[in-house]
Amino acid sequence: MIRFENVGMRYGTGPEVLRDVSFELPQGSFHFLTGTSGAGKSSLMRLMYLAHRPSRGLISIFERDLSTIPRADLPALRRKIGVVFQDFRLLNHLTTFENVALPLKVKGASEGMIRKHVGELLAWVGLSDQMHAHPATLSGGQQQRAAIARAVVTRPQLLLADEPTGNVDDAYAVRLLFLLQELHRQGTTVVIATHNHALIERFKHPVLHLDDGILMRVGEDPIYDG
Amino acid sequence: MARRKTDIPFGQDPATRLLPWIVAVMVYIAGLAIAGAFVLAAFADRWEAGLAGALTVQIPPPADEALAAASRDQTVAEVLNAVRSTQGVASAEALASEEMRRLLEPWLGKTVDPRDLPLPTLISVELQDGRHAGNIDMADMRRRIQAHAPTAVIDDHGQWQARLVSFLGALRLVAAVLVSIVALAGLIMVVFGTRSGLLAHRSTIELLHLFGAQDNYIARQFQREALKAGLKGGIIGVAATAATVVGLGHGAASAGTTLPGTAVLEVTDWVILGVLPLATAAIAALAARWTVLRALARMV
Repeated sequence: MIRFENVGMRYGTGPEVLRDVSFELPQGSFHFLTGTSGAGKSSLMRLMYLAHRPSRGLISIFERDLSTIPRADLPALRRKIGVVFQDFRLLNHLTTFENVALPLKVKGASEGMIRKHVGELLAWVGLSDQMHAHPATLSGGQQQRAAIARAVVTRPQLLLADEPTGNVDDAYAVRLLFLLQELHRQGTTVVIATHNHALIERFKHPVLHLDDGILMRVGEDPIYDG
Repeated sequence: MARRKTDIPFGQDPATRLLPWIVAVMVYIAGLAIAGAFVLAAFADRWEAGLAGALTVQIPPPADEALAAASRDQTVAEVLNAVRSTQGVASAEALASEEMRRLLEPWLGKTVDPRDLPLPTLISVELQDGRHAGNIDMADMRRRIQAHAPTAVIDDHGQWQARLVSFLGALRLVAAVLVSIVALAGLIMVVFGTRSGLLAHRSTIELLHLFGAQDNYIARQFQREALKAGLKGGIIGVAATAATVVGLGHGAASAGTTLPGTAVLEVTDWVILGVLPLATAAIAALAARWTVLRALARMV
């Protein structure tokens, strides 16, 4: 599903924020991505959700080599990826319904399909009664659930969540993880960047650990070691 | 429900909110220049039509002032006969001395008799309908006239008309240059407005890209916004132009002059002015699309 080989990344002409990163994530896997602040977790996520190109090394995603893929082919790949951003990135001028519907609208889905899928998703995350509310009027937890609903509304093959439990209490973080596990059971490959060691301990999934831009540990199961 | 709003919050962007008003000012200036060109064209046609069917024959005063007025009158009568017998001439009349006196009165006063002055005798010649100096036998007319008055001169107003046409041509060129400059300035405003919109909404655009939006999908939203701004600005600008033209027309009419008035603009002129908002909207939309696609091609 995803393969990194000696990948380096820098912003502009700055220093490398990721160095010689190599790993492979099989389809249907579930990984945590850990590391201290500034270790490069968000940069690694940006590479995985195709918001940035590596400065060196090879990245292969959905069996496509990113170094040779034409720019025009990127949208089709991005539609297979769902992202939950650390700051949610909900659009304040749109309602909860419209925010969740956005990836489907971009994909060209019909009005009927949008109504059906978004309605189901909002019910699944418990936001049916907030569908006409604007993000500014939602609590942090509600915004997070809206962001998760938006990330999965297109049934992505890969779900990337950057610190999804950063703004919620432990009990809610556990509920959130059960929600993401449910998606994983349906076949979605999941990567969660988090600081929350209690969650990592509890859910026993392989871990990618970054330290100062270098990948130190890949998984707890030898099958994932790169 | 999900399709009612644009994904990009254009309403929050000051440049986007101002754009229709900037376009309106541009279209107003361009509209006035175009209306001015139409008015000039109508004047040119009207003057040309008025002059084309007429000639003036000048019979210089005799060198010997001692010559009797009777002799001059006889020459004038013979020239009149010669002119009237020329094919294509409808009528020919000598300017009466009373009329000459009236014309000269502001400069010479009431006591002077024009016949005492060495003034040329003027004969006003009207040509038959549809005729002008170019399609009557001027050589024949000149021969007939000069048989009685060898120094007589025929003025077909051609030189004056040529100067008029050249002057009006220059004014029309000025109008065309003005319209081009305004169109270019408008185009630059749309391009810069769109660029500022791209910067203001960069994070939303990046988000749309991450959802898998094609460049076309994003460009269409900017294009639609520019189309709306162009149409709104164009309608306001043309309405202001029409109000100005009509106002000037009424002002001119109440001042008792035949200068610019609504009647001077033909129906086709108004139609062309009416098309201006559509043309503005189309140009603005294309400029916005081109700007967005170029900018997005540089993004990841």
